[in-house]
Amino acid sequence: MVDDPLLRTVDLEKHFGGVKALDGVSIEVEPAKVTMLIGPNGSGKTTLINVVGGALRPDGGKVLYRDEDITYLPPHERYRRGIVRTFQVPKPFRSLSVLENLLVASRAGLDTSAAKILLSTDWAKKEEELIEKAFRILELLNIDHLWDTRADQLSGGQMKLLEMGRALMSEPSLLLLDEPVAGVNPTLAHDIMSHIVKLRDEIGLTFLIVEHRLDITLQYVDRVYAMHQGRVISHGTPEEVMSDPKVVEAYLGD
Amino acid sequence: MINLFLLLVDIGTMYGVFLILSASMELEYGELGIPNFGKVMFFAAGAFAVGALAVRLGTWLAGIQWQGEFKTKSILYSTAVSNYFATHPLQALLVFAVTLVVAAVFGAILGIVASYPAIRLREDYLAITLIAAGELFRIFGRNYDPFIGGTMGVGVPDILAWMPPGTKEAGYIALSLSFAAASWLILYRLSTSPFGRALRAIRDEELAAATLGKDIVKYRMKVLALGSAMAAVAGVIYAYYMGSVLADDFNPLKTFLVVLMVVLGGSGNPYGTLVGVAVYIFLDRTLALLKHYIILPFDINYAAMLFFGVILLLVLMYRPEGIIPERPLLTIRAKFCRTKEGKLEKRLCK
Amino acid sequence: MIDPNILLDALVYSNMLALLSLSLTLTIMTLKVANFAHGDLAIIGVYGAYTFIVIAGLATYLTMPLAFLFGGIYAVLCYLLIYSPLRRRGANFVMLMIASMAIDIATRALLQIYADLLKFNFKVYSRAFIFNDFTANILGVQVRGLVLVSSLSVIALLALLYILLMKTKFGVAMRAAIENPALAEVLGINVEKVYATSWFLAGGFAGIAGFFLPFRIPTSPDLGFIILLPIFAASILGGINSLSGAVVGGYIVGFSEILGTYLLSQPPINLSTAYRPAIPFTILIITLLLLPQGIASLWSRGD
Repeated sequence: MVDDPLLRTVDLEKHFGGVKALDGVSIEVEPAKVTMLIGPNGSGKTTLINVVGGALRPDGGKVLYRDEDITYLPPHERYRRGIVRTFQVPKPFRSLSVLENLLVASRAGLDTSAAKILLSTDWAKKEEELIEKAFRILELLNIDHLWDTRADQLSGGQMKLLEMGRALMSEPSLLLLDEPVAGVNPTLAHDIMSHIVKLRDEIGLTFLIVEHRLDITLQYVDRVYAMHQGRVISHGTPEEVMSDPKVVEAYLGD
Repeated sequence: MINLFLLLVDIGTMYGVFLILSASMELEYGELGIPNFGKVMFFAAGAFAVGALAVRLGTWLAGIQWQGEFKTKSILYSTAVSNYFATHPLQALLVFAVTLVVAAVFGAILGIVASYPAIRLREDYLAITLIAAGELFRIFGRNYDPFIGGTMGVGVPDILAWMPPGTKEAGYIALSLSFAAASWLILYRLSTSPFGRALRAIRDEELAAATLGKDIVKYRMKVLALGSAMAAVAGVIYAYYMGSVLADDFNPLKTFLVVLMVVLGGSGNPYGTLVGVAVYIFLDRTLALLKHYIILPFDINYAAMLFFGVILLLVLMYRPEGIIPERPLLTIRAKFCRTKEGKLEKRLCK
Repeated sequence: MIDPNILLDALVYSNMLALLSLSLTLTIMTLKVANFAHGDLAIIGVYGAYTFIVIAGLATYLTMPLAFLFGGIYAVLCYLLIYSPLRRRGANFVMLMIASMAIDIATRALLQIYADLLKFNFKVYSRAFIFNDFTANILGVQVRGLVLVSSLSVIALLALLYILLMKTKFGVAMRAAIENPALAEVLGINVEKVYATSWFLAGGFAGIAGFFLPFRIPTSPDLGFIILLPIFAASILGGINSLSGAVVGGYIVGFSEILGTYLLSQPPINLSTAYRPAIPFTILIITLLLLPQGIASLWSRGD
């Protein structure tokens, strides 16, 4: 029995000049499942993540989250509803330390009111708890020794992990991961994927992942959507999709 | 001797005024990354509010009947009000408090209005918009006589007239420096708190910050409201200290000087403003002193302007991080320190 | 009815603005940041020309090429000594903008000092000076020389720029370097040289525009800052990345400013002409709110 999908896109369209990056894309992301988007370069995967995450407005179609139309909501409103994303090219807050990068993502809202900061000291206690929590995530990702390093001093792989750490810190219900293990060494990449599965099983987190490294990731995911030239050409379990002749053709033809 | 005293009063008071302005610029530009090139407009908002209200409120409280044009008589009546304040300190403080609140609110509202284009425009468009708005505000002050006396300027009554002779000047220093200290502490507290962290996150990577839940529009609005209210308070202090308000005093050069102080001191670090303002005032006073000893075939004020322009260019080129560079600030650093192996230990540092 | 002289004055002013917004746009295309010292380039040009008029006794209109030269050289120096090194050191957008503001302050100070020195050494007016014009009789109508000269200059300079950009090898290199500097570099184009040349041309155009100033109004060192707002308004109205848009923007802002100021200062409104900057400011705000891509987006699909 299939649950109601957490996220649905309906006939999404997005053009860049004359190029159709999304050409009627409809997908469903089931709750507490890991769903992966695959496809050759330029097939529209990242555009889809951008539209779902709110970085891009689609030219047509809808994005529904828990049956609410969120197509034109700004990113911070999506965050409030539990949708958080990472970026293919990491976007760390470069002059902040690694620890601070994580704290920014916190859902505690200590940073929303200047007046509260000025007039009380309550936030400091909460902040301590957040720091503890941030450290647990940093330890998990194996970058806790870098906590005081400025984010722009990190290597590419470490920045990827920082992106992941920020996303986890934000306690999402739906995590959009744009190439989470690209540039990460294989051992750590497997660790990250196992952790994703653990989060799915233990707290029912839902994932939508774009990744090229199928050799590592495929074994961890529940559902796969294969895209080609802005369209979904196949979907199902990883086995079903990978044995679909259309998918094989799309990859070979690229 | 008395000259030295007055010089110190002037330096101290102006340090305070410029520190408030720099703290507000640091909050907007250093922390949030919005270069507010309309700074002088918000500074003027405070000074103009005092110019337009102080002498009117004063004459009303003193029960003086106003005869003649505002433009020609404001200086005269401000002296009369000063004399009244000499025996009525409470009324003087009341006028100060009222103008201060009005100015701060006026500044904050202007800041919120300015945040509307600030959200949407690229920085250079925003800059020219704010510069032009400031210039129009100045032109309005200069041409609409009933507002602040037009080209004649307006007299501002002495709110410290009731203080014993000789201590009044110290009073102005104290006034200026206490407001400056408060402004700087607000800046410091915000900068080293989750709020400041969110601002720097937005400055560094806007999209990532929005994705992590930061409502960028709201942050810009809040910061511009607060920064502009601060600048207006600086204008209030400046107006009372100078004893008059002249529209043409509020030209874009003032904005440039504040930018110079923030960049020179080190933008992104609250301590930078303390140093930047001090260095500027030191250089400015030194140049002013030189005027008495050097005779040049041109006005030395222009040489000073050239000097400050070149200084800013040199800083941008050779030390863009300023005298005191930004560093990641921990909100509660004391609780976390490294062990010998570089690992983190979660206990109070000795 | 509007006095024809006011229309002609609007034409002259617009000719000047068109050159300035065109040249500002040219520098923005290379630097990607608006140069707040652009108005000062015009004043550099006119002070250069004025110096030769009062010292060497040259006939006024003969010094026009000198205005071009002075404006151009100063612009190239700004680019080579400040903007280009700053960018190589990784200065971001806002830092370049702050630098241009510092250049504006320093340039106006330099001009003030120069004006003082000119007065001190040669005992001539060095501020609020004006140029005398000749009057031409065209088919029985008396026309100021400036009307003809400024209009012809705009036509000639635009034609020159068009030929340079569209018909020469240099133009191809320039357009390539503006559109995709990295690719142009790979193709063997010396991007730095192309940009410096663009700055020279832009400064020269600004210098010519500056040369027209003293015919209309008394000219002083700070005038460059005062004309900055209409220049920006014209350039932004034109759609900051379009040369043709900048020219059209110059005429729209120029005519609106002159005619608007004239009409608003007449009964029944009687507004002081001091509020004149409100007109380009209003145009600027309306453009940014309603047509942020500028009017050029109406006829070209943003190149």
